[in-house]
This record gives sequence, C-alpha cells and structure tokens, in this order.
Amino acid sequence: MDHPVRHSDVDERHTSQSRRIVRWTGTYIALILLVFGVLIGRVVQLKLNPDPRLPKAVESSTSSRTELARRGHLLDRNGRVIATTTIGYRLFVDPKVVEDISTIASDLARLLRIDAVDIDKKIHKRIDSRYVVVANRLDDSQIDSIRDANIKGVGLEAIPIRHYPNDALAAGVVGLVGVEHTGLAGYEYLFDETLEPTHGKLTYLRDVRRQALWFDPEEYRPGSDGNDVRLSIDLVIQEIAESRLRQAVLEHNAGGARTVVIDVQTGEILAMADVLNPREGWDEFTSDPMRAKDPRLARNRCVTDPYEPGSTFKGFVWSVATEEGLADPDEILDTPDGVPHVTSKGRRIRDAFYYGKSTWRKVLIKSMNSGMAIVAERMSDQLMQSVVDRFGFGRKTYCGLPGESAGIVTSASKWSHYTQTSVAMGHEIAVTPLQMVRAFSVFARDGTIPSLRITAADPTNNEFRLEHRVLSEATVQLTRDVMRQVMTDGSGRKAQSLKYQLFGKSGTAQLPKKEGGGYHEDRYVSSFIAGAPYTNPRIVVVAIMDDPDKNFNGHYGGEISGPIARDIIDATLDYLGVPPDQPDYQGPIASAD
Amino acid sequence: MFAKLILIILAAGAIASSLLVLRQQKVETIHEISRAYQRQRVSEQTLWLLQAEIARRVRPEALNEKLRESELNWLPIPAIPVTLDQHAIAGAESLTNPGE
Repeated sequence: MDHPVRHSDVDERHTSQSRRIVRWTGTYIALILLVFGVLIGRVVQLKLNPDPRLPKAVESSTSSRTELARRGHLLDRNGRVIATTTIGYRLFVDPKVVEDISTIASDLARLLRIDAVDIDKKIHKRIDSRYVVVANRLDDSQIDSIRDANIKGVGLEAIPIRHYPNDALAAGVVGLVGVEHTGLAGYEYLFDETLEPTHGKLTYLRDVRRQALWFDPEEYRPGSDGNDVRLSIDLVIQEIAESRLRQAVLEHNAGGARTVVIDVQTGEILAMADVLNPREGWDEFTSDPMRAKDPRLARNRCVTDPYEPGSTFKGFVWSVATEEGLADPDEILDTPDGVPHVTSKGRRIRDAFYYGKSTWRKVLIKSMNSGMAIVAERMSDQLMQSVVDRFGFGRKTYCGLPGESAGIVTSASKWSHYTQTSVAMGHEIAVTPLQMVRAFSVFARDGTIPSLRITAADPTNNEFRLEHRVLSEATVQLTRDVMRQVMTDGSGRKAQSLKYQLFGKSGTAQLPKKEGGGYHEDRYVSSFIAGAPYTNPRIVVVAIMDDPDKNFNGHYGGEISGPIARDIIDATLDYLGVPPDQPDYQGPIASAD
Repeated sequence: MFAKLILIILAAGAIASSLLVLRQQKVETIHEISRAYQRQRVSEQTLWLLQAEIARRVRPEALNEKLRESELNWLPIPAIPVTLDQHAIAGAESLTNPGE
C-alpha cells in the first residue's frame, strides 16, 4: 500500500536541493575568483618585483642577429658586373665554451686542411675572448665539414664577400673593400656611401636546445641593399687598352705605360689603364709599395702622376697663336736649316730634323721646336699662361677621382723667357693623362672643353654639364686639319690606321731626374694623343710609354706610342660599331641585317 | 541547474581549447614563415653566387677566348646611327636600319 507523499516533504527536499546548488555555485565562483585573484597577484608581482633570475632566463631564450644586406654593384657603362657581393662564412671559436683547445685545434685543422699549430696559437693569443676568428672565407666543402662535425664552441658567421669577376681587369681603377666591407681604394672608396647597404635585424626565439624556433615579426627590421653605380668605364674597351699596353711594355722593355680613352661628346672616361713593368732601373721613378701588396691598392698614375707632354703640347699653343692672329698657317717662318735656332735672348733651340724655312702649318706637322719658339716670342707671357689655363692645365679636372694631381705649371712670378719658349714645346710643364685627353677633346668637339665624368651618362636625362668655349669652331677645324696632316706627312705616319682617319700629335720628352734636377740624356717619356674619326670624332686616346728601352724599338712617341693609340682607337671604334672612314678601306664588314 | 552549470563549464573548456588550438596554429604559422624566410634567404644567397659566376663567365677576356676557340670569322656590324632623341624613344618603338 502506497503511502501518500506529503507536500511539505517535497517542498523541504526542493528547498534543500536549491540551497545545495547555491552553496556549490558560490563555492565554485569563489574558487574561480580566488584563482583569478592569485593569477592577477602573480602578474602584478612579476611586473613589479620579479625574481632576479627571471630576466636572464627570458633573455637567454631570444637572440638577435644581423641580416646582411648586399653592397651595391659596380657596373660598367653597359651593365656588366665589375664588383658584386655574395655571402661567405668565417669560422670562430669561443674559448670559454670549448672543452679542450688542443683537441679542437687538431679537429679543425683536419676539417679545414690548415695547420693545427696556427689555430692553437690564434686561440691562445685571445684566450679570454669569447670570439676568436680562426679562418676567413671558408669554401663550400669546409662549411659542410664544419656543420657536419657540430663541434661545441665552434661557430660559423655569415660575412659579405666582395667579388671582382674580371680579376685584374681595371683593378687599379676599381679598387677594393677592406675587412669591414667598406671601400679602401679606387671607385670602391669613392662611391662607398652610395654602395653601402643598411643591414637588417632579426630577433628570434630559441628552444631549450638553443635552436631557433621563429622570429618575432614585430622586432624584424628589414635591411636594404646598397645602390648600384654604373660607371663610365666600358670593360671591353678597358680590356683592349690594358692588353695593348701590356704587349707594348714588353715590346719596348718600358718602365711602364698609361692610357686614357674618353668619349669626346659626353666626357665619359671609357677606359683608363696603368701598367708597370718591374724592370730594373725604373722603380725609382714610381715608388708605389701598395701596388706590390695588391694591384687594387695601386696608385692610378693616370690621375696622380704628371708627366712632361713634350710636343703633344704644341697643338694647344699652335691653335691659340693662330686664333689670336699671331701667325697664319701659310706664313713662312725663318726656321733654320741644319743649325739650331737662336732666340732673341740667346737660347739655342734644336730640332730633331731641320727643314729650312717652313710654314706655320708645317711647324706643327713636322713638330719643329724652332718654329714654335719663333711664334712663342710673339706671344706675351700672359697669353702663353692663358693657353695653359684655358685648356685646364695646372688645375684638377675635378672628375671626382681620389688623389688627382693638378700637374706642375710654373707660376706667373717665376715665368721667364726660358719658360715661354719651353712651354711652347711642351717642356717645363707637367700634366696628367686625364688633363691631356680632356684638353685635346677641344679639337674633337666644337671648341668647347667638356667636364670629365666617371659615371655613365644617361642620354634621356638632360642633366646640366658645365662646358666652356676654348677656341672658335673655325680654329678647331683648322687645327684638326693640320693634325690630320701630322698623321699623313708628319711624326704620326707610323701610327696611321687603315680603317679610320686619325688626327693626333706625338711627343718625346726627356725623363726628368728624380733628384738633383735636370734631365736624363738618354731616357724618355714618349707619348701620342689622337682622336678619331676625323670627320665626326667619337673618342680621344692618349698613350704614354714611360722610359722605353731605346735599344729595343726606338723611343720616339710617333714610333712607339702612336701604334698603341692607333690600335686602341681601331679596336674601340670597331667595337662601338663606328663605320671605317678611310676612303681606301676594303676590309671585311658585315651588314646589319 | 547542475546540468546548466556543467554546460557552462564545458563551453568554457571548449573555448579555452579552441583558443589554445588557435595559439598553436599561430605559433606554427610563425614558425613556418620563419622557415620560409630562411629558405628565401638561402635562395637569395644562391642567386647572388650565380650572378657572380655568370659575371665571371661573360667577362670580355672569357668571351674573347670563346671567340678564338670557335675559329669562326667574326665581322663587325656597323652601328645604326642613333641620335640622343631617338635614344629617348627607343623603348617605345623599334628602330629600323636606315640602310635597308
């Protein structure tokens, strides 16, 4: 029999259940609040007063490293790479971490194939340091060996490596970078600021085994590569110039040779080469100890070392004297026949060959010192000094190359009758090859002198270039015409090109003594300067032979430097695709289609 | 009421688990990005090496050597005269040989 359930019992049960739920709920909430309270308290404690060991532990789980950006390229005018950067590795040791230095040294010596004693010495020398570089620029197999060996306390560090793909080509011009990957010499030094990259920074988290887990995107600072520099140098023309100079130095057993090739319209230096021959008796004139250490550290003598131009200077004096009306090209001068000319002040002027009375035109064609002296005496000192000045001699070209010389010019206060007649023949003045090509380009242009440039010109960019007029167009045309005759009837006959009509001038100056003043009797600087093609000149080339051995193949500029200038002009114009302008040229030429 | 409480606790647990999963996914994504970045750096460095090697192989001296080895009779091609103005528009229209 069922007992009836009383309402009061049911209510009592419900009430008891509700109380229990409320009690448990309250307990849970209290517990949760307690847990949160404890957590918040811990956070506050960690923030305000953390355990001193904590920051160290946190820091040790993250690392920062530099993300190497690339130094800018040095490019030639056509975008060929002259200098580029890749990433290489150097090996370092932490002496505090390695267990046994001798063992490490022998292990590394085996892996790197270098002397263990050297490694041991290097580590012991800086035993208190945490970073001892053992080897720079490891090759691929060495890197793999070190990584596979996984030796404690031995690490690999990424470093930028500068490459010069063209080896020694243009080495002295391009220069090099140092251990810190900054420019030390040449264009590398000159454009260091532009080429320099901004390295990035990366912070990454490491696990307990100190292996990288990931990097922190918020801490990432990207690097940016350095800017490229497009030089005015053309590697092909540079190669033409250098190989021809090397050949010539051997042919004439010369102490050295130099050449500069420029584009006459833009003033761009297309090639600049400087070759030295380690020949006995010459090094006294070119003390350049850095060249022996590294050819990239060599002094660029085309920029730094002036030379006496000799008769190549006559064209400048001839053109100004003609323009000023002091001599007419067809005027017959009283030049001597067989005996030296004596100036009004009693100075005896010798010619290499005597032609008797000659026209002013012939004076330049045959390079007659006597004729130049006669007209020099008609010129005032100030006018002769203005010849030097207006063609840019005696001051730098300011093309930006480091160490540039202004040359040597006698000051107005020391200017004498002797100076007046000497300068007219290209003596008692010293110029750099760079100054010479710039000045001579006046005859290849419309009478204006260009600013030289070492970076490639952009034909689409109408940038301002400073040019000033030196001669009238009529005088330029006349002088160029006479210097064309130098090639056909004068001292440039041996430098005639079969392909292109050249205009130029030779020069042979005695070599000045290093000490005590005066000149060597039988040692010379032989030079030749020329432009081509005659009708529409594109380039000017100067070739200088320093101290050629007279007993080999002569010493006159027209004989030994002329062919160098001609060969460089032929090959360069050929390469530039300039059609031959010699009327009789029947050589091979392909059609453009 | 108890069931509701259990439901709330389970829901909170599920949300917490989901958050943990999302956090783990974020960590894995960052890790993968880091690895991809490292791979990109390695590729970039390989590219730099290749560029240097190409530059070495196409230097004028090397090309001249190849020309000599080829024993072919190479002839210079006359250049098409280009004025400075034409230089500026060379990208827009191709130049034709005036000799043709």
